[in-house]
Amino acid sequence: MGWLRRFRNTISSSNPDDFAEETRFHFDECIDEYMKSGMTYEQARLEAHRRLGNLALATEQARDVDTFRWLGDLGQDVRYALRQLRRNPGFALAAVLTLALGIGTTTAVFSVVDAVVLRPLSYADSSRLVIIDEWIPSVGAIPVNAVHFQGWQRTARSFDQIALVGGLTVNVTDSTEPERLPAGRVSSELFPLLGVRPQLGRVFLADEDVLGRDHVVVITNELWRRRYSADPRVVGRFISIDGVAHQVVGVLPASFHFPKLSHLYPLTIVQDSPQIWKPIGLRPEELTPADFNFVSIGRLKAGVSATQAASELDAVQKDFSVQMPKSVGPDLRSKVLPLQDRIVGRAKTGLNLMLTAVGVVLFIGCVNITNLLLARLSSRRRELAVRSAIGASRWRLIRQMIVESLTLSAVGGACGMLIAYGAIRLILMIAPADVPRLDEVHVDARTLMFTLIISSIAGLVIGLSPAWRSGNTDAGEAMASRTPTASRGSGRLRFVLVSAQVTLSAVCLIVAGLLLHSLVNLLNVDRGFDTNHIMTVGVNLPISRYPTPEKRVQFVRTVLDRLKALPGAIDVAAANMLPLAGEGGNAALSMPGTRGPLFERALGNIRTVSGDYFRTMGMSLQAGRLFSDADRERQVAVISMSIAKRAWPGEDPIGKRFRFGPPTFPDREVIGVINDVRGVSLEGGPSFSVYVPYWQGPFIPDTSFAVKTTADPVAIAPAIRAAIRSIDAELPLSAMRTMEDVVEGSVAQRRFQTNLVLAFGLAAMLLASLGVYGVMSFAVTQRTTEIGIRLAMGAERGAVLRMVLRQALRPVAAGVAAAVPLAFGAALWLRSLLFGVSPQDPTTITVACLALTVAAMLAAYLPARRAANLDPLNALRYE
Amino acid sequence: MLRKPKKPDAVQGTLDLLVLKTLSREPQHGYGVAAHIQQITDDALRVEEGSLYPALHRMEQAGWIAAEWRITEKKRRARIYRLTRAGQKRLSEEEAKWKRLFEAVGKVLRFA
Repeated sequence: MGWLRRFRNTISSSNPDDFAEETRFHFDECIDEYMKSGMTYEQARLEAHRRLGNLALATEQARDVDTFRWLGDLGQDVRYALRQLRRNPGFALAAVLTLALGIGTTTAVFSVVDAVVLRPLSYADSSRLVIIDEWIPSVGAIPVNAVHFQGWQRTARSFDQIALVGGLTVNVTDSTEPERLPAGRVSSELFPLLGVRPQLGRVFLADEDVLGRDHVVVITNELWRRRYSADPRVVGRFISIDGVAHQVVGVLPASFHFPKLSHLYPLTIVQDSPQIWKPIGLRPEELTPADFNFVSIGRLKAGVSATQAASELDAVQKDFSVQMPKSVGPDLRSKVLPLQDRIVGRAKTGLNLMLTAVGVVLFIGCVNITNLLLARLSSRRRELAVRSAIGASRWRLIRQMIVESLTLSAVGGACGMLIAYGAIRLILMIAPADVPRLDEVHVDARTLMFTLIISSIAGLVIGLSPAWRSGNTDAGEAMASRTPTASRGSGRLRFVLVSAQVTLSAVCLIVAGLLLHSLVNLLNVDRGFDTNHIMTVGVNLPISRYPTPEKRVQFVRTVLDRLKALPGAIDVAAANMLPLAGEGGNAALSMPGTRGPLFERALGNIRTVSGDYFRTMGMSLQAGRLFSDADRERQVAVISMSIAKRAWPGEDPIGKRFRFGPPTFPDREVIGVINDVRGVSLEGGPSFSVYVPYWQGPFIPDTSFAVKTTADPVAIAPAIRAAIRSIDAELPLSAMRTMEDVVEGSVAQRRFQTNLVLAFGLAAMLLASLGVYGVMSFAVTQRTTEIGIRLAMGAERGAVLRMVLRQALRPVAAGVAAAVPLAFGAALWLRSLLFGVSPQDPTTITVACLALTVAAMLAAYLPARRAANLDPLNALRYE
Repeated sequence: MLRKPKKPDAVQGTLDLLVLKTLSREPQHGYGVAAHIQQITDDALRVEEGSLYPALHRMEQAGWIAAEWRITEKKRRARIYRLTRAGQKRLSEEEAKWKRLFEAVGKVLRFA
């Protein structure tokens, strides 16, 4: 336990007073002795002083005995390392810059991954929070039925609490500008369950869950600051939500983050994080067996696993299955999933990929520095030999090298921290909004810790092989050789390192290529609608002011007429949901006479549209006809090809009749078949769409308008806004987007990932090429004499060029060859991110490998040309 | 933490041996150790204070000797060193080593 003793030593005998007293005692005894031999006190004192003249030195030495001497040596090593760096400013700059960029970007990506994936959700004891889905084996996970939820709440013992959450969009009107806001409906259990206390006022009471008593709202800190200027008197005030007065009872704290509701639902929907919350207030139609529209969040009792909870719920679900009418009764079960997995699940692979890619780039950069250090080491062999000869131990030399590389990485890490700060802001700026939890990303102690760790690892990575080399310095041999030549071993090591760089960057490039290929495939997919020159806008008609279907239809019709009259508008259309906006209303199609279970019938996505919708969106009629205003009373529908095939396989669907909704709903006639459209996302298959005239549809208050224009669609936006405002000035409008923006938005996350990975891949390629360049330059310098002799003996310059290139090709080819199986593995891991391209796509792999080889050979060409152009006379004189 | 194994040179080893041997008789302060060595060897060996105190502190850290403050007969506060059990062991090792060296050198002197 040498360190313990040393530590004690620093405490006990480093006390200078102790030692001073000990010396004084010695001094006094000397004086006594001299006086005994007959000296006067003065003489004795002088004599003692003379004898103990080295007293100060002795003090120093006694104190320094072994006390953290290595610390002193370390300081010396660091000073020496800094001196070395100052002596080679070019090398120092290149190394620090590489490290700073590498560590900076790695830290930035880590802080995003940390906030999104790794860090537990910011709720009390969040590991026990789960999301509960209904589960039908033949269908998959579906949202929750309110009646079932109430059943779980009564009987399930696995949970402390469970809560019901639903999403909606509301129009908020008060003294300021009307606004359309994402909102949440929650049962009173939600906030206590999450451990959230309001910063002002209160959250919901249990009796406010009941319809009629639910005219209260709680607002987020963000809305409170933005819309109400953080005025505490907002609590108690009445604001109008969809035209109905609601009292603000509380303000949530700034620390409260709630995920986007679209991240909670098991289906693809588009629903933002709520800014305003109201009690669940279940309506009678929501308490029916066929309504599956909610999300349920639960808190497991301590020690209960998600699987146990699910099996308990399954027993309850079985009762519901039995109670359901035979025609509906599916095999109903439940699924319990950690809340965090649901929220980050979809973004996880992509983020981990980015972190891996940026880490690989950092590693390749480190290897470049290692190669530089190794090359420099050969020219420093003599220095090392001298140090070794005058007594530096092997360990001391190794430590010197490690300290040098750690000094480099410490400086690089410090600069990297600054870069990380900027890079995080950049990532947040360009990151698409549908990455969950981005609002929780920030620089903190964990980020700093990560930088520290990654810098130390980088320092060890770059220093390890030079240190090992320097430890093996043979003083005699190094002193004997006149020119600084590297041993064969060090050259071999450098080529191995270059191969590794090539392998890793090839894998990066291949993966980036596969992602790029997927993105291109996705953008070229037959989406089924046109995006050229189309401007869109959404409105939400509040029930208070548009209580009847007639009023809504009237509003839509007036808007369509006004828009049609706008100069530059070719076609105008209305729809409850535009393509890629999601699948709002799904309903099982019931054909007259069929009696299969509800969940086994064809499920159609009901879209209410105006007659011109198909032409505006550039869709093509496959059979039959489209509907028009003439079909005012006739119950008609246009269906997509996919649902035609699903519902009437092998038959002509035109003229067939079907019904959706309860048996009281009328039968409809299929009058036309239209091409398939991607309704939710480009990745997902085409929607099973059923289009019905908006004047007949189920009257969902959301309506979007699309205007096809002759010129730039952005130019017409103000006119569209003015036209709608002229009909209803209080109606808030959603952001106006062109259809191109809508498509772009739907691939934003993928484009972001692809761009980042591609950037990292290209950076890796560049760094690997630099590595090849460095190693080949050094090899050529080392072989100057040999090449000079070859040229003097009459070797052709072309042959020399080829010889050097051949030397470079070997590690590059080996690296590329090793990359292919590695890339297979990486692509399998990333299969969920690929679209329309096989993980082993030969084209992508070939192109990536070729690009890398060409880049590496270009890098090797420069030193090769230098070798070929050597003047043999100069080369030999160099010796 | 890697440390260079300490290889004390011959002179230092001898000083250690002398100090340990002196302390094995009775606990003693630094001045007493130096005086004793000088006296026993009839002034042939003079221990420099500059070597003695570092040696004492080094051996204290090594755990061979222990020190405490005591008041001497002359009413002065002195740091008294005494041999520990580890020091005892060390002393017998050093003595054996010294004997071997002494015999070896003796043989060389006799037969060379």
